[in-house]
Order: sequence, then structure tokens, then C-alpha cells
Amino acid sequence: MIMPSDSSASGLLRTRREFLRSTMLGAGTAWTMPGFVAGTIALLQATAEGRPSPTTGRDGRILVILQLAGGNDGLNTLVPFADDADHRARGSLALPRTALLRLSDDCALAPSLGGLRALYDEGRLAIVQGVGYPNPNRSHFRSTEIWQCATDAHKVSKTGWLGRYFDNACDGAPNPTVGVSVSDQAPQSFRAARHPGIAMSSPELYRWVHGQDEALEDAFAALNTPEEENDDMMAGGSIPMPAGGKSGGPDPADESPLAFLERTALNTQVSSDQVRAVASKAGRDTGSQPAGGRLAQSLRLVSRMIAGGLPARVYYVSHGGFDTHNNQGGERGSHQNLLRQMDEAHHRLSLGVCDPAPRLARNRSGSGAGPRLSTASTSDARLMVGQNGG
Amino acid sequence: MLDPITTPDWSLAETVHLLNRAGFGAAPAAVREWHALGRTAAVDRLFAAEESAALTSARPAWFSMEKYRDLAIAVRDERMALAAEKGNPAEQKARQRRLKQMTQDRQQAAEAAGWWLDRMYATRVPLVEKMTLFWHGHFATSLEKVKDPYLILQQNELFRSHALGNIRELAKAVARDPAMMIYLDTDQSVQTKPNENFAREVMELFTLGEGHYREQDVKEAARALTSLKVNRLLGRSFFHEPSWDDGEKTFLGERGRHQCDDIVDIIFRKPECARFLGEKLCAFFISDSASPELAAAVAEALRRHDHAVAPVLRTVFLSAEFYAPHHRRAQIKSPVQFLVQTRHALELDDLPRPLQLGILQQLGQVLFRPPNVAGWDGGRAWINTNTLLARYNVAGFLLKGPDSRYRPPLAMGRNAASKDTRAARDRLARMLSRRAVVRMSAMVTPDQRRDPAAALTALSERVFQAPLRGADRLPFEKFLARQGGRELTDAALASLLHLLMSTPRYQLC
Repeated sequence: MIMPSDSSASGLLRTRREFLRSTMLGAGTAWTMPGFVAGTIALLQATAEGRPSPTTGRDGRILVILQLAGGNDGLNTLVPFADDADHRARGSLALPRTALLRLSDDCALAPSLGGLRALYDEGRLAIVQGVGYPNPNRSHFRSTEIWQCATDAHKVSKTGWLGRYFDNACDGAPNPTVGVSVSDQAPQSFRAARHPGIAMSSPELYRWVHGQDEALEDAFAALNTPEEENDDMMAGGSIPMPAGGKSGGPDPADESPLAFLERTALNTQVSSDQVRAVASKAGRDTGSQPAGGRLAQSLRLVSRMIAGGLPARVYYVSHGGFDTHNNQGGERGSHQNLLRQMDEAHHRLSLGVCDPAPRLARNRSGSGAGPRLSTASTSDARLMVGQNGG
Repeated sequence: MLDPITTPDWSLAETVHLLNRAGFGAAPAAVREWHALGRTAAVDRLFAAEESAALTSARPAWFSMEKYRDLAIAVRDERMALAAEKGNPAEQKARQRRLKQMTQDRQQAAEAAGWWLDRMYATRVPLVEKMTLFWHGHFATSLEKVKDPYLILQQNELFRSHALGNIRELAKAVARDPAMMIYLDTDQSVQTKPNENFAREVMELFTLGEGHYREQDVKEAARALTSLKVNRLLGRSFFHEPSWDDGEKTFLGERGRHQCDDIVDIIFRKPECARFLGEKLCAFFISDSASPELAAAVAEALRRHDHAVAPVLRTVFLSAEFYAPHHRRAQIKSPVQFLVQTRHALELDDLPRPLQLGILQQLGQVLFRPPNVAGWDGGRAWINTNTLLARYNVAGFLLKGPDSRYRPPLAMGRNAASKDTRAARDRLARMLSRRAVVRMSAMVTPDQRRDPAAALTALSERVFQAPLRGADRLPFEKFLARQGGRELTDAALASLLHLLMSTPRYQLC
């Protein structure tokens, strides 16, 4: 890689990032730079020019996962109402049968899921029942982990099912924001060898916070972008070039800790820039929608990111508080309220996001230019049929 | 491979390396003090020093066996009384009691974790606290399931008292530790239905590793462990003869009417045990990508010393290999290491505990709540775009307080929505805003303020504990060049420190 001996000599104080963008892509030819750096630079360039990202393109499908956190009571969500044994065993937890929304002869949706019922009628809803694993672990915590990592009940895995997808499906064009968890933490399902996605609760905060100071910003960018190859490892700041040049990303096993940190630092800048560029393009959250609680807020954020063209394939939103146990409260109780919120969430997403702009409305009828959206709600099921004791 | 180092003198860089790995780092003045001792005397001090009396006696107020027992009895009586009543009011009261217990548990858990963190910073025996942390990650036990902070703190004390001792004896004590017994269901194990959880994990994760035992061994070990029970009123375990399966068992090839201790003894007779533990110690103290030869050398030392930690670590800390350049600044700091080491670098003697706990939560390591029984993965697993940003932003907050515009996470331990907690948060915020978090004058002389290059040298040495040379100085020098005035203000120095800490390099120790 060719770098100027000293930027200040040319009289311009350019950030390293700007320099990388301008020269590397223009110069072409004999790069022995690792593929992932080139790919990341390409992403930076694309973001800066507002082009659609190479990852999702125009036909890329986006998956939004709504996790019902705490262990949803599946039997009060999709009710096997024809089954007497269930009704008897549930005691005070059972819902009155007249209020249920029938889907078939033997199962019905809970009363608050009117929106889902409508989707079902339109043929846009699929329900997968009875998903489980052998020898269910009764510890909620461990059980959640088993679900998120999709492993056998007695194995402990370092990667989650989504993380493995990110690693395998997205390695060609490395994309730090391939998966976005709308919260301060990424779920265990995101754990990956190379591409764990990002966790972000707000675009404004997903950045290096330092007060407004351009000098600081420039220095920070310089310190967190890979430099040219440097023989002296102690000088800190070199990404080892794998022999043979541009093939894919570095093997994590070979990468030194410092190189790994630098790669992550670069991804951090890229994803932070991307997210903020997208957020500003999609406009501020106008608040024209009613407040609607945290779930609604998170989904508005997802909508902004999608509308703004963030190249994420998977969004993950957690809707909390399903560990209501015995305090669910029947038809008007807390459980049904949570389900209602989830129902509204699905409804909004199925309309092609909250913003009723004409482009997106067209998307609904299939002729628009936006991404195609799939939504999934998941939860770890409640394991006891009867009421939980004391 | 662990041949002793023969050079009589040692450099400041080597002192730093020892203090960072055998402990949680130290401020520049302390580093010079340790350096002056000479290598051998410094290593001696790691093992021989005594903890200060103040730290030895300080414990959270509720951590006493008598108080625990009295409270447990009161709770039991209340529960029995409520069970005798019938109807909704009784259920209401029971629910309220449960909520109250949960709130108290959360509060005490936060106090226990905060107590330990401050101890890690102030301790005179950093190696003991570092090994305590090692054991906490190794014999992972989580409050998530155990729920009782008293039992978890009791386990923490067990790790501390055995920190540098014999691992086999520690393993026996852990098998009988109430928190571990609850976590891995030993307390529910009976003759007719032996629970295999602990039996499996003790071999798979604690001593031998996968592939060095058979399923049948798990079953036999489970039978041997059927006698242990937890007395919930006293927070102690005991041997309950009627539930012991006293029949003949064959475990790892040895026959006998094995009981809990026998199982541990048999395991530790296997060479795989020293190999497994040696690898873990090697990864924790030297390198997580150490060569098989190096890990084997540590294992060999463990065997030679019959699984005693102190002589093995002494050998490591006096070996040439330990100080090899490729092992230095090559370990990614855990969140705990990051926090405590940063406190030393910035000499933050006084740091509010809710802030410390909030930081650890943000960085992904909550004390007493390891993610699963395998503990924390460590190394690169600590770092992703989010946690890296969090480290950078936390550094900014520690340096500039509210001026950094970063809203730090605070872990109060109480119910977050309660009026009580909001009031506490406000008090904390006022406290943080009034007081300068870091004292710049303690770190930079007036002369250095007037000489940016000298200021950079002083502060980069404090932060990186190594000289910053050549091209690496450029970004910082450029930043300093854009600061106005004849001398660097506190704000400019804070920003410089923030930059120094917002680098990949700062994450290594």
C-alpha cells in the first residue's frame, strides 16, 4: 500500500479515512491488501455516495425477528381450544373460549391477536407449532441459550444460529452491519466467528462520544483505521497481510490480537458511519406515530434503517416481560396486553414499515423498489402446562 | 520451556508485564516501587504479602451467618403462616413477600459485586484477587439460578481462601459448596434419581475436558454424589447418609464405594487433569494461543507440585518464556481487567460502585453472573463493535465526567423504576458532576503542560506503559498542535488521554 510520507507536507490535513477512500479504489492493480479491508473500503465509499449496498441489493430479503422475551405462554397464544385436557390443566390461566379467534377446528389465536388473524386469512402468516428439542432443560436461562445457539441440550456453543448464518452467507462482502440488534446487547444467537453484527439502541449514540471537536474526530479516525504494513509489531497498528493477498478475510485463528482489534475498530467506524448516514437520510423520528412503548420505538428504528438502505439482513428486536408466570390475568391481563403489542408490531411491519410514504405503499402490493420483509416471532416456550406453584 | 530467566536485572516493561498479568496493573509510582525490588523479590512479594487488615475485615453488612440464619428462619415462618391462610389476600401477601425478597437479593448482589471490585483495586495481594477471579470463571456459578447473594459471596470467599492453594482440595470444597450445589442441582440428587449435572460438568468443564471420561463414568460419579444436601437455613452443606448410594461403583477404572471426595481424588490421579488445568492457567496468565509445548510445561509443573497453584505460578513468573516479547501486550483485557487497570492508570481511588457495575455490564462481564457453566470465553470474545465503542466511551466519561456528553450506564441493583432508585440516581449524578473525576495535576507537571511533546510522552507512558515512537505519535501530535493557548488545559489533557485510550492498542495488556 502506498501512503504519502506525511499528509501535512502536501498542505492538506486529510483524514486517513478520506485518503483511503480516494486513493485505494482509484489506484487498483497490485494490491496485496486483505480482501476484507478492500471490501470494507468499498462499503465506506458506497455509503458516502448513497448507493445501495452490495449486500442486500434491491431484491435482498430482510428478516425481522421479534423475540418474546421471558418465555411466552404458547398455549395462551395459539390455543388448542378443542382440547379439554388443556383447559382443565390450565386452571385460572385458561382463556374463555368464546373470546378466541378460530383458525381451524382445533386451534385458535388469543383474543388480542386480531392483526395476526387478518394476516393468516390473507395467507401471509405461517405458524410453526411444537418446536422444541429433546430433554428440555428446565432452567430458563440455559434453555434460552440452547434455543439461541441451536445446539444439543448438553452442549455449549460459541456461536449462535444467526451468527453462523452471518459468517457463512455474508463472507464474500464483509458487512459489519449484516445483523442489527436493537438494544444495548446482541442476543446469543448473533455470536459468530467473524461477523457478529452490531447491537445498537439508538443511532445517535452508536458512535464515539466526545463532545463536538473536529480535531479529536480526525485523530480518532486516524487511530482506528489500519495503517500500512509495518514490520515493527510493537509500533502498534499493522494488519498482517496474509500470504497470497486478496483471498477472503483473515483466518481468525491466525490473526494477532492487535490485528483483530484493529479490524474491529475499522468495522466500528464503518458501521457507525453507515448507521448515522442512514438515520439522517431517513429523517428524524418525527413522532407523528403515537408513542406506543418500547416495542413501537424499536420498530420505528428498524423502519428507518430499512428505509434508509442500511445493508442489514437481519434485525432483532426483543419484546420483554413475557415471564408473567401466574400473573397473566386472563383476557384483559398483562399477557394479553403484551400479545396485543406484538400484534400491532406485526401489523405495522406487514404494512411495509411505519412511514406511509408512497414508495413503500407500492412495496406492499409488490411493485415497489423496497426490500422484501419477513417477520418472525420467536420465544422460548413455557414448559409447565399447569400453573406454577408458589 | 519454563526454564528460569537468568538475567539479574529487569526492565520497567517487564515489571509492568508481571503486574498486569499477576494482578490488575498499577499506577506509575507503584510500578517503579515494584521494579526497585528486583525480579525475584517482586515475585516473592506477590505470594508472601499480606492483605491489609481493613480489607480483610470489611464485608457487606448482611454477610454474616447469624444474620443469614435468622432471616432464613423468619422467611420460612412467614411462608408457612401464609400457606395456612387461604384465599386471595394470602396469595397477595405471598407475592409481595417474593417481590421484596427479589429486590433485596438484587440489592445485595450489587453490593457484593461492588465490594469485590473495590477490593481488586485496593488489595495488597493482587495475585490472590486475580486467582479468585480465575476460579470464579472456572467453577462458574451464576446468581441467575442460585439467587441467594449470601451463598454466592460465601463461594467467593472459598475461592479467595484457596486461591493459591491445592486445586484438588479446592475441587472437593467446591463440590460441597452450597452455591455450586444449587447451580448444578447436586442438592436435588437422590439415590433413586441421581442428578448427573455436576457429575458431568466436574469432568467436562472443571478437570478433565471432553473425551477423557465415558458416559458410564458420569453415571457412577452421580451415584457417588447423592449424599450431599444444602441446609438452606444455615447456608451450609452436609452429608445426608440415607440418600447416599453406597453401592460399589467403578469410576474412571477404579472400584469402590465411592463418595464425593473419592471421586475428586480419582480424577486428580489422572494426568489429563493436570493437562486440562495447565492449559487454562497458561491461557489466563501467559497466552491464549500458547504453543502445546508451553501448555504441556505448565501441566508438568502442576503434576510435579501435586496440583498446587503457588509453586507453579512462581515458576511461571520467574521463567524466561513469561517475559518473551511476543507474550507482552498480547492479551485482550477482560472488562474487569480493563476497569481496574484503568483505575490504576488514572489513579481513581474513589469510583462510585453503581458506575463500576454499570460499566462492567456494558462491557459484557457481570460478576457473579457468568453466561453459562463454561464461564466467560474471554480473549476476542470480549470485543465486538459495541463493546469496543463502549470501552472508548467509558474512558471518556471517566476522564471528563458529564462534559464527555456520554450517559454512563448505572447498575443500582434496585428496582429501576422505583422512586428510591430515581432519587439515588440523581444523587449520583450530582456527585459525579461536582467532582472532577480525574486529577490532571497529579499526572502532568506545569512544565509538561507548556511542552506538548513532553505531555504526550508522560501521558502515553502512563496509558500504554511503553514508549510511543515515531509514526505512532503523529495523530496525537496533530491533535495537540490544534489546541490553542500557551499551555495545555485540563480539558485538552483529558481529551488527549481520551484519544490514547480510544485505541485498539489500549485494549491489550
